[in-house]
Amino acid sequence: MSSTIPTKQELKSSKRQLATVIDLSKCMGCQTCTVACKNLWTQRPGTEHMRWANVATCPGKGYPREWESKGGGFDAEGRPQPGQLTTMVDCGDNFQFNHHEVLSAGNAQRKKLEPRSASGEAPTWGYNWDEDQGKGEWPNPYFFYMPRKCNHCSNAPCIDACSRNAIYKREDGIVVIDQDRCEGHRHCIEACPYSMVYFNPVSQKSEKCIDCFPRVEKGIAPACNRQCVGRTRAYGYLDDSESQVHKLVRVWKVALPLHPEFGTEPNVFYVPPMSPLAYDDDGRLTEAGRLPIEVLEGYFGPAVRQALATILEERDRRKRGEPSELMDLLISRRWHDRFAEFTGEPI
Amino acid sequence: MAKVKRVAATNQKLLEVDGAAWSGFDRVGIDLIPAPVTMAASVSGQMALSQNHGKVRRVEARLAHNGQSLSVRLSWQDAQRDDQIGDLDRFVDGAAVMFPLQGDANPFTMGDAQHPVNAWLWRADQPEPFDVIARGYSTSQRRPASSSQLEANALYRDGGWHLVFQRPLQPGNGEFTRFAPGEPARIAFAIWEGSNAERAGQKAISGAFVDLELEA
Ligand code: SF4
Ligand code: SF4
Repeated sequence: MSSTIPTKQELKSSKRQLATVIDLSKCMGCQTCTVACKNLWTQRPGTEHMRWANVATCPGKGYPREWESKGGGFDAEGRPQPGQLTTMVDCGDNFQFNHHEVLSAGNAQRKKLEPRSASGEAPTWGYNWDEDQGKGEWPNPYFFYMPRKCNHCSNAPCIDACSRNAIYKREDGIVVIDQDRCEGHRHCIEACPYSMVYFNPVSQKSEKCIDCFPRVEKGIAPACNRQCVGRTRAYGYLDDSESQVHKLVRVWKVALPLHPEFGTEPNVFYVPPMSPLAYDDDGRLTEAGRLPIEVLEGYFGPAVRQALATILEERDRRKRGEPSELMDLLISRRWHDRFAEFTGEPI
Repeated sequence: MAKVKRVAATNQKLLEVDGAAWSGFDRVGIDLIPAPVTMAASVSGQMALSQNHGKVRRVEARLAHNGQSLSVRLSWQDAQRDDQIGDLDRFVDGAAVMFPLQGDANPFTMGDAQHPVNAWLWRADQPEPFDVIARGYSTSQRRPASSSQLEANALYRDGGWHLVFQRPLQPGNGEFTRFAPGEPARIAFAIWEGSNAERAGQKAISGAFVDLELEA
């Protein structure tokens, strides 16, 4: 290495910025995105526990477990905050099953299939352990699904945290960890307030979502976005005024970053979920939503009120038979409208 | 100033942590301090927040050469043996000795662009040590032990680690600190306590370089 040690500002800057928008009203928690990612990237030794793309039920402990209370990110003055590491169990564990025992001759009626934690114990937590639990009382319980991946933040604390200067933003805005420079010190895991960096105990290096950059370079959307069966996702450059991400984030302002108060300027944006209607004491459907607005504010900040108001207004417009560009965007009758120039075929 | 005693023992005998070659040797007691991580805030804001690192406060060193190789035997107390990364939040014990490549260098920053340092790094979970070259924060490079014929041998016993590093005084070509009988040298020490999540700059260090003289 020469005397030209890059500054963090250099490592954090990019020419353009790719972004993902996810419409939470449409996500059905099917985990197709999770599996699409896992099949592509995390089947190597030491990656069994990793779900670079993942979906958890909100409110809930989330994935990795209790990531929202693990610290990291920045305070209001931009100072880095201490954070905590995740464990194997937090990251969803790596269950082993007694297939051999159950499937060997004569046992099928006597033995049942039992998962074991990587620790050898009976599991007490795992991926989506609290799926669909949510909150609220009958007859008005509520929950929604939260698909996540690395936010490829514009002010990425993982980059600031790496004492090896191994993490950097590519020209397209994708944040990657140089596996040759990483020495597995895991400061990035502590610094990422989204717990979206994972430690590989076999290679002893840290890994994270790479936004499928080898696909993106060939004009193919990341697998989580492309494989989404709910048509919840849009992808493209934020500065491309023709892209859906630009229109939803910048023009209509209905797609918001998760936990903007962490100060990292995420580039995954969420269209907040519209609420199912609540029942009154007599079991009659009311006009009120079940999802408390305070809960949504806890995830997306105060801007969620205006975003939802805009969506509902445009929906009403459409119900009246008037045109609505926003509703057309959110519906996306032609799927490839969602992915700007990234509509190439993966195979 | 510490003396590097000239001995007749073979390289092999000196690599034995408990070998007779090391009995009756003067021990140099080195006090350690927590590495000042705030200096490294520009390379790791997260590391600079660390407050409780540097748990090991003393290391005992015995130094010998036999005309061919320099051997450094270290002992330190460590109540918990951490020689495996058992979970994603676990770290292993480690130790290093560091020398200026030539002339002077700042041991706190691991040198700088003009003043490189050479270090020998042992980690409790690795079969071989690393030979490290660094030119300041964030620049260290781990080279395989074979590059300089560096060797290490460690033993955990009675609540402490005992470790021998050994390397030829004059390794082959490359950026390695070279030693000669009758000549002065300088050394610094670092210990990582795995159960205290110590890694990278979160470590205990000796601070300034300790002056050495290799017996003629
Ligand atoms: S989400 Fe975490 S890992 Fe991804 S860029 Fe932001 S801070 Fe880094
Ligand atoms: S694939 Fe789409 S609909 Fe299914 S969980 Fe992922 S984001 Fe939601």
